[in-house]
Amino acid sequence: MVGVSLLRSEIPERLIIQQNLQHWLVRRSGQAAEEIRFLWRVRRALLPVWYHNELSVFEWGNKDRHNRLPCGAYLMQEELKSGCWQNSEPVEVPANFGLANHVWFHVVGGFRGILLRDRHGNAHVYLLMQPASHYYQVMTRSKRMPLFIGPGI
Amino acid sequence: MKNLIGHLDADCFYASAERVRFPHLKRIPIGILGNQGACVIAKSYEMKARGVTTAMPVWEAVSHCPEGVYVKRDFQWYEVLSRKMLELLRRYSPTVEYYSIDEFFFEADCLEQSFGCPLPEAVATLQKEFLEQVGVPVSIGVSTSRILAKLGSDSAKPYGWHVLTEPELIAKLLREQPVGELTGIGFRSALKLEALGIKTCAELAAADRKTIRDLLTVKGEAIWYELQGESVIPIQANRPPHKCVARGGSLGGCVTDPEVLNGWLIRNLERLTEALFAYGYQCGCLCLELQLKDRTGWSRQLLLHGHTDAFEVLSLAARKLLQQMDPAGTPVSYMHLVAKDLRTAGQRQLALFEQPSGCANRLKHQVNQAIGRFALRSGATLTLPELYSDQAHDHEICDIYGKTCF
Repeated sequence: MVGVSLLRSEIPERLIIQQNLQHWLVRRSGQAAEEIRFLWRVRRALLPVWYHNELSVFEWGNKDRHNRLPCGAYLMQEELKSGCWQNSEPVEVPANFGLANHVWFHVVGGFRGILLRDRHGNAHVYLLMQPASHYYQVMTRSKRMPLFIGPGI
Repeated sequence: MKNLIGHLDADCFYASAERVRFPHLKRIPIGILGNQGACVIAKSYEMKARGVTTAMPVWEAVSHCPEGVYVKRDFQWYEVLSRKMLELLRRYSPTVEYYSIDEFFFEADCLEQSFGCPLPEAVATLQKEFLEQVGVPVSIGVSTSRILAKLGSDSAKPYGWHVLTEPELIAKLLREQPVGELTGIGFRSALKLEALGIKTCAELAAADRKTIRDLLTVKGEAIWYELQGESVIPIQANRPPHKCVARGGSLGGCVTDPEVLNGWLIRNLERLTEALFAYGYQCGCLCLELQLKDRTGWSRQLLLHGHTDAFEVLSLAARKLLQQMDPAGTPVSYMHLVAKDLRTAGQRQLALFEQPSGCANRLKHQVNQAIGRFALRSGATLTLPELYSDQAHDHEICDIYGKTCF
């Protein structure tokens, strides 16, 4: 999973301005609804997150090797269950579309994620992953898939 | 004008159906993926415009349309909308044929009276009604025969309509359409016609009837009559009896493990006996078709002792067929089980030594109807855990009953 896209209409305007998300606005075709794309490949990757009943935007995973947090965009659900990451907070990542291996797919209820804090108290959000279903694996050629909220793939 | 036939066809139905429940998918290129998630089985016009075709593998589609969004198919939802369309059309026409999940033929004489306006306005109003009531855009053709009505709706797509009652209009359309556009004229028939210099529908209509009959049998002759505007293929309000009933499809990859193959065999048989039960058929012959990874295929059939729909009897026959074909170690990619020599329960000849009555099958059917499809199933299918954990696999297009076409 390397991208999450959310309709602009689902993000409060103040958050767009505050987080300077305007330059991530895209349309898939001329008259399609505007989306804001959260991509892992950008220098400062962000993710939209429902946190304390409010839509917020936090840093996506961790790209800093010197940080004590796990490097990468996601954590496997099994890792979390084994108790590797104490003090993690479950969060919901809203999404209308997901991107994996160049394939954009439709998402109904969003993804499950966890929030970890670094030593400075900054929030980092990781997508929770699980072994891919046959369908997802064929569709995206990925061996892992996110934990879906609601109907999966 | 009397004896008018209408043809109503949803525009990119699966994509439109997804847009009914997810309006944010409107105006973006979307592709609906098939049972395994590998191929595009339907696409929106936006995706079609970018060169994506039906049956194209998803990775190829992505190269044509990187901005496209891919959606997992949901036949249960498509059936809900399909039935809604059928119900709506029945409000305006006394005779409706449920041709396929997104196509309907109907008696169109009553439209003027139903809507209280001339036919072209009535057709336009009907089209608007579908968009408002169901949310799905449709194209409509009305003419004096099925073939002309279908040509009318096909050529009006997307979201158009044609009333073809004037000879000049019909002649113009026939000149524009290649014969390959006609239902019933496949690739081989088109080649045969081309050898006679017949490429357009107008040329086919102008050809000698007997020549067409000799070339394309009575089916070709029926098309010839229909192109003259003479209706010879009636609207079938009730589905005609099946010649055979089949269940099966892709195994979602290549299967070599005999236990897994047996799991697929029993899954397909459970679906087949369910269909036989729903249609009220018993079969006298069971056929197993397998296709290998290299696309070679073979089939074998077994005559049963009398007609039956009993799972216990058919599972013995199916297992025997699989044993006889013995694909041990050879990767199998497709499997179909076909019930042939069908009889309705009242028609069948009782056997001298009566087969088990199939009461276990009926009980299973009742339990599954009450609790959920496949809630009670054969232990042999335990080798396919992922298939049964995904409810989307519970409902496939052939599980939508009553259509005259697949």
